[in-house]
Amino acid sequence: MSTLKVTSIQNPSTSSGGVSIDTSGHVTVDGVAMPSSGPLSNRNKIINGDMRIDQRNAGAAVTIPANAYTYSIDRWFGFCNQPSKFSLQQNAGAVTPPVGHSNYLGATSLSAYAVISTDYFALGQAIEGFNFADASWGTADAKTVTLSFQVYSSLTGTFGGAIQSSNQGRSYPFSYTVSSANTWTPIAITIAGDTTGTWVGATNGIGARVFWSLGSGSVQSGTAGAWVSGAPYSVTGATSVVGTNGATFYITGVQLEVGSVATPFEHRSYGDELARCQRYYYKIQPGQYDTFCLGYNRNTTLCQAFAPFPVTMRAAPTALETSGTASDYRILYLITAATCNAVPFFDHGSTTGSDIYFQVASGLTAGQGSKANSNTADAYLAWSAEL
Amino acid sequence: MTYKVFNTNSAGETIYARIDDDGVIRVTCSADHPPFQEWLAEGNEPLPADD
Repeated sequence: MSTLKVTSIQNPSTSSGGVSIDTSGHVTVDGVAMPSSGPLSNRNKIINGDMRIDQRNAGAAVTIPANAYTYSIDRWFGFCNQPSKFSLQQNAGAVTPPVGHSNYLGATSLSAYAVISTDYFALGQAIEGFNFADASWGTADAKTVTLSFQVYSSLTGTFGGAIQSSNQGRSYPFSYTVSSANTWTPIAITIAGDTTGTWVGATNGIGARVFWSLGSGSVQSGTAGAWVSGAPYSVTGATSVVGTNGATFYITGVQLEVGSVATPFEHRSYGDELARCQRYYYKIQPGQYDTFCLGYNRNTTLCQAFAPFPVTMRAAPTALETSGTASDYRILYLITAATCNAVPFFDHGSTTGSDIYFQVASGLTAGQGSKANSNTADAYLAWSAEL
Repeated sequence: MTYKVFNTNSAGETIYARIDDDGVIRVTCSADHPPFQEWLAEGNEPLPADD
């Protein structure tokens, strides 16, 4: 056995492409970085990293309130301690996405807010433990991960973010630089795995949280590039997006993968990505006069219907979301369409489906079957099992 | 935003409705719904059911 020590392999007639090997042993084939660890497919632990799926808002902006994960596009939330300082929206500002992408998530500052020491403003995503356990964080075998994304901002400077444990007892603040305003900039950050701390492992709880800060006070900031106790969301001295009225921060192509190399963004099929999102949020909006689900009449006014979920949800939903307008819904029985006199309401849920009540003023016959329908295009039903 | 007692489910358990600031009910939930639990933990109490 012997080892061939070379830094590149090329066809004699070419001066580029081929295979190259850097000083860390990382391999690039025809300009494409190969993984340094883990599988070749299903590498990306971020769901909806190309910001395609927006079941909740269909491209509408969401102003972020205080103290609650508030979802914009699927899986992506805004989080802050002061309300109404920024909004999130799919394709906010309608700029051209980076090559190879069709969508992005845009944050827009709604005022010129001077961040105080305890403030935090961020967008982020929580990753389910089942999808993160292979990183083995919290053990001696903790694996290095690489976070890559494309960012575009009206501001320049050093920006910050952090990856945190489920109990926010451990955090790794990271920084990156945007040198040119209003220009898509690729970023890659390699993070050594945390060998200590409490990480939930293979459960349906939060495996890790990733935040991109839009402004953080000194109490909420730390030093980049090292694991610390606590939950800083950013790095000290980072640019504050919420500090400038109208400032923008756009992001797409987000990938978090095991290994020390940022491989090309893993483009998945639309159906695959939608199904991944539906594990956490599922919305039916069939259009006017179309079917939600089937049921039976419990009495003269109530139809109990069952809506199966297309994907096993992360956890059993405990609520039902509707348009809020009773007349958006109706029940079909025999040859009659009866408009609802109350919004459909939650009965119970499991990870595979939910029972719902539809109510009309009168006319149903107990024991007969009915069909729960939309009366308008605004009608929808939705369930959440977000982390 | 507040909550009120809305109805009972097929198991006889209370179902609550979230009343948004514009007076519209967009969410109905069981007692173990985490946002409802957080709202209760802040010292709030749901309104009684409509007569």
